[in-house]
Amino acid sequence: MTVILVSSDNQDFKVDKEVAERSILIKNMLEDVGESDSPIPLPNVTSAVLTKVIEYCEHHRNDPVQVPEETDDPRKRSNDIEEWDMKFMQVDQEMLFEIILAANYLDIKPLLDVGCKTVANIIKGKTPEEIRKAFNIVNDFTPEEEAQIKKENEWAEDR
Amino acid sequence: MKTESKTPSPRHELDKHVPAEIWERIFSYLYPSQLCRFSMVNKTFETIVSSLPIWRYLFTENTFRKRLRFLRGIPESKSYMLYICANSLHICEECGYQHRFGSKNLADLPLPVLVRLSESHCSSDEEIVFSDEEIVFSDEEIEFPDEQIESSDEQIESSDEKIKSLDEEVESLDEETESLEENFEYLGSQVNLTWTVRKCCDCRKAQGEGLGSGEFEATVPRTSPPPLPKTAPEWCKIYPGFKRIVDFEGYGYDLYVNEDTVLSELEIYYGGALGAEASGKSALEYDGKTKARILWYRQQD
Repeated sequence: MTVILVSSDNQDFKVDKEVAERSILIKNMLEDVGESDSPIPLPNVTSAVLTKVIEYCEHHRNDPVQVPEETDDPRKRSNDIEEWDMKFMQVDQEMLFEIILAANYLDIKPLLDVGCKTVANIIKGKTPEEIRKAFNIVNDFTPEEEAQIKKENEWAEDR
Repeated sequence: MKTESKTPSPRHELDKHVPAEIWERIFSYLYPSQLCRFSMVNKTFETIVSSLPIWRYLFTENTFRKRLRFLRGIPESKSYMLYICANSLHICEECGYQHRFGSKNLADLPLPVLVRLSESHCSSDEEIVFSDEEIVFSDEEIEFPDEQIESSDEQIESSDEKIKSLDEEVESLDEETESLEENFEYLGSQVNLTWTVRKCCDCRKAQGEGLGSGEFEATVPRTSPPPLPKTAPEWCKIYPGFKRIVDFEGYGYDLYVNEDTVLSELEIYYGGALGAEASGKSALEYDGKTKARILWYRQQD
């Protein structure tokens, strides 16, 4: 059985139900609607992003449902990203965040986790200035504020 | 440092485009020191980071107090982060506990430890393995009393072997890293494979155990120093050139101090050259009396 997903720019995507149901949002929708051929509009997701998300869901279509280990410290787990996922996440910064936002909206937790881990790994070991450069963030501190904050954050100063 | 040259499209303004809940999820993968650095990026992130629950959690865990009463003119949420950052030299990022000089053993204090994204970063099957640390034990500076040298010789030999096998491992790791680094070019910038976090002695040890049995001792030594003489006159016999501090810190206790000995002791306690460097930069500055105190504690034992 296939499902038709419609992106924000009105493109149709025909995918297997099994693949589409990786998204909890779509899964719940389908359960609510019951057997129906009507396309599912996804007004928050562009076709470019949806293509990527479907690629991910296709690859992970047979994954068992993840049981999150809440007791585990997430700080240690940011290292463990599957090789395929790593390559999948090698996109430009804008697309990376678009994927994260789409995963959040569509409720695809494993994809959201991989995206967040990727961002976390980019942040690790970077100075504030390097982070600004990597993410294109404008520094809105005045020099005085910056000096004050530097003084307050001992950890940050201590490499 | 405002760049007005090109106005970024709204999509590029991450702080406004990406909701705080997603940042909080990302931040759950970062250590406190990395969070601190992120809070210095701009005002939005300062607000998001400082109001994370982790600061209050660390505060209550370490002080057994429910809330921080005063930091005048600063919002309560930010107060916790400030309090924790001010104590960062004592708080272990791994276990979150605060280690004081009063813990009798300086080796317990958190030290910056180098952590490296290992091969498992791009392989699915392996567990996270922290690879080699940069802590190298240099024993050149340390003077052991004569009687102790014989017994410690055997120890040194066996640890020499360990070091050799470690060296080989490091070499092969280095090669792996080189090939890894080539693959890491994306997002227009390289992922930094190494970073430091402050870890207490127990957590450093746990990290060392990840390397395999016994190797921890070679990388992060916590060798017990030779048994120390009990009385001050004995001290003076073994270590010439002691200075006498009368009524040390008002404890009604005379202290005999020799700076060189204390420094080499510190090096053992801090875990080698990196530890000594770290102590020179931070902990010693933080508490100028550390050198004297460590001796004092030892004499109390």
